[in-house]
Amino acid sequence: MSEADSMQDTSGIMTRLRGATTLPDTLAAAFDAFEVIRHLARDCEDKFPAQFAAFMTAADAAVDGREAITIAPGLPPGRAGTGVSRPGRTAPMEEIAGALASLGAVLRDRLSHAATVAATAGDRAACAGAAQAAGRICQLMAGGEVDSRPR
Amino acid sequence: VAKLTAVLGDFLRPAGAHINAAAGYGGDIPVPAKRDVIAELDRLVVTMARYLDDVALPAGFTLASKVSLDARTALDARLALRRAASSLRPAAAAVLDAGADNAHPAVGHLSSANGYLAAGRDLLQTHFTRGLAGGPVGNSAWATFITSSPATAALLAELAAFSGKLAAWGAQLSRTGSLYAGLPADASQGLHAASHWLRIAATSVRTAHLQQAPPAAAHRLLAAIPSNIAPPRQPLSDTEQVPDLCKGITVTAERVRHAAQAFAGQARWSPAANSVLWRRDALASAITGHASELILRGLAERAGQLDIGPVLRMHLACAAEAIGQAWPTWRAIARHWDTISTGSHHVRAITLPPQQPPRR
Repeated sequence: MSEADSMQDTSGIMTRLRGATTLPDTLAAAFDAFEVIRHLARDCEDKFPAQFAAFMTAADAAVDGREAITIAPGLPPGRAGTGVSRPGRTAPMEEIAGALASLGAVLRDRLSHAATVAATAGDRAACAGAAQAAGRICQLMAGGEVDSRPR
Repeated sequence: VAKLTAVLGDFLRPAGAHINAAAGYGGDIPVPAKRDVIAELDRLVVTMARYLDDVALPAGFTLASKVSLDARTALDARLALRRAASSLRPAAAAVLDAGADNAHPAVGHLSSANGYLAAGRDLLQTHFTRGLAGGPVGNSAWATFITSSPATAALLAELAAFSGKLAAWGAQLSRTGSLYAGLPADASQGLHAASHWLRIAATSVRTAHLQQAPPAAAHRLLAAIPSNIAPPRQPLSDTEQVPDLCKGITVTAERVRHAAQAFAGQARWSPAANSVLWRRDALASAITGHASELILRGLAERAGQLDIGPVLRMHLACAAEAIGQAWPTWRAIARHWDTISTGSHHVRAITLPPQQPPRR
């Protein structure tokens, strides 16, 4: 997969997240977004040894986020096996980290918002936990705040 | 490897040496000393009989039962040693009030042998507690071996060797000199009878072992049975050297092993043992291992630049190589945990440092 594919994949999932209008859509998009982050971070562990710890911890946080989403009552059934295309591995580290940081920031914001509006306590807790994981991804990849507004 | 605790061989070997040393005096012992020898023999044979009293009988055993050769041998030897002890009891009583010479070296050797054997039996007892029915219940990983046929056979062989030596010496003592060898009649006759039963105990074991000798490994393992007592805690200080730290690690591991055994009966699945924490363990191990390899390789390279001793460089390179093989395995484990969950958990997030260094 090319570098363009990689960016397109993270851009595509960000578009899905921003376009989600219902809680189930948000949860489903968040689930896939965490999987994109996990795969991409795992792929980068070997490629960028200097950032090994950061990518490993980001992948771990992505698993935390996905697990939090998994137990949300509002997650549409049938998520298991939903395919997530693996982003390309040829992009420079800065570009990949930037994409992950941006995606993490969008996830954090969307899930934090969902946590305040969800009807059930289970969904609120799931969204809050997942938002926290997304915030860690953002912090790890960017080392600070990332603007999640659409560009 | 640091030796953490006493082992049975530490007691059986000196006990045998003291018995040999005592028997080495033969029958030519002054009568006053003989009296004390009889008293010490009485104690020693009682201790030996107690070893075999501890051997568990097969379930539902009666005298008419058909049991294995090992069990039959143990039972025959136990009976013979009990009778030897019964014979020595009146003999010891007969010399109780007579003048004695406990300064003779043979008396001291017998006393020491008895002390070592009693301590050895105490060591074996540390592997058992009393069950609800009053019977012994193993409380260590060694308990199963201690009650096994090979261990029993090896222990019998040790006791048979002691019995054979004492039987021959007892026969010498009881027939030396005048009609009763200068001893009261009860003492001389009791010593003679005890010698007879000790010889039977030794012969029954030797005969059985001609057919089915215990394997050499059983002897080695018997001697290696450790006391089941946790070593004392070794508090950390600021002055430990590497050997002290290595010993401390070994001691701590041994203490953990004891604790695991002690609390096994109360074991419950810990709510803290879940996929999240195992994943975190793997994550932390992979990262620290990876960082350690980078540091070690950097140090090795720098040592080369500074032309520091080749031994140090080799150690650094070896350490880097070892950790370089370890951390990828931890990473693989972490990756496996990506898709495995032991249930739903409230994930407690990793706390990141407030000022995480920027990626660039």
